[in-house]
Amino acid sequence: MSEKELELLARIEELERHTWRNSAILRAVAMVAGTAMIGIIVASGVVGGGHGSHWTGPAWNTMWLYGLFAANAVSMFWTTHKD
Amino acid sequence: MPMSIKNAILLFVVVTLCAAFSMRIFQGLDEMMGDQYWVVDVSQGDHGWYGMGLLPHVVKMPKDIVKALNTDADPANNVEIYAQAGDFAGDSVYGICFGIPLIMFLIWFAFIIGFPDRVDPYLLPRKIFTIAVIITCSVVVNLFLMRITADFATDPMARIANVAGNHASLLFHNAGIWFAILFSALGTHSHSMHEVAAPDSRQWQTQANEKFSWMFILLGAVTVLEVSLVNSKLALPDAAVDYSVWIIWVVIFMRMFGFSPRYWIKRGRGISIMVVGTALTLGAFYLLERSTGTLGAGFASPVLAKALGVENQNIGLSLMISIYLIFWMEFAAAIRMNGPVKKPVEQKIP
Repeated sequence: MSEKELELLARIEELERHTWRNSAILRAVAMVAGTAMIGIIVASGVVGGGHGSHWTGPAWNTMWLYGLFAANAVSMFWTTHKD
Repeated sequence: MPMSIKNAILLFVVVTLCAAFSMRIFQGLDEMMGDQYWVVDVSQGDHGWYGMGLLPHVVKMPKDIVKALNTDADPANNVEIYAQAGDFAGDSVYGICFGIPLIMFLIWFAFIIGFPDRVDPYLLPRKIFTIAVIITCSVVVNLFLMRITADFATDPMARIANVAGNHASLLFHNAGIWFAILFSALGTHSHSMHEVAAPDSRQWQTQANEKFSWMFILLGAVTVLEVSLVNSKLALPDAAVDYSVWIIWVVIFMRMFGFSPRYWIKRGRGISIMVVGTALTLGAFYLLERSTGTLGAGFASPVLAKALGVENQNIGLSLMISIYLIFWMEFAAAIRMNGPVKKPVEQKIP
């Protein structure tokens, strides 16, 4: 391989590393942002809620659950199945 | 290479013991209250709170006295109810509340630490530190959320721990899972000095369109399922909690077993671990309720029948099934038995 080709390959690899790193950052940001977005809706449910005896409506607990949906959906989209 | 059966049993036993111990902590809080309410003692601290306003000064007060104070005409003498026995651990639906710490410890042990057969001694301190950070984040954030709930509670008989988390153990363990996934995505628990090689994207083909359409098909399916479960009184009347677990199940299922039937048919082993494990677990909790009388299973439950009426005795069935489907799916992944069945490669004799 010529020097020019080697240099090009090295540049492509560096680009790939940076793309990969940026995608990792974006994944974490998507998880937090998705959770926060739904958290606002759940928060309004929590604020309106609470009826003494057996409260089963939306709670902060529910925000964690929708957050888990956001987190798992993000990792699902980043998983490739070859066969 | 799947994990050996000995290690798989070891992992299951350790995770179950940790979950039981964690639930004991919350059960201990419930036992401290006895048959009285914990109310916020406003004469102490900063209007009843200390530790940056995160922790309440609580005192026990008989339930009939609190009810008389909070339902009379004078709102000035109202007391703020923090919790009653059962609001922390949730013994009446123990089967449901036990599943969340079970999943949490499975993720901590199997996917973060690599227990039992892939523990990297070099990375172990970093991984233990990550778990310590997860615990701290979960505790601080949830105490903060409970304080917010306390400040916004409008109903005078609302119990803060119940309104904030239905059962407070769910709050802390769900956040334990969420922060674990977040820090794993950030790579907090792995090497930072040796960068992971980027995968070769030249071979990539995008699957996003198929993934989206299959995700919405499956989400539609669990929506129909959830509505029918609610209508037949097999799920909580307010679908928010139930439905969220089913949609989590959808995306984890698609991640574990592939996004369409083309992949699922090759992964019969993992799917059968999920189904059989769930059936056995439901049976185990059925027997646990019969033998203890207090630790409710959530379905066919005399505890629920006594508290909410006979027609509501199966109201936790949907959550029991969805939570344990998720646990056994993650367990199949942890013991590396969720992948496609590989045909034995014929050895070429030289």
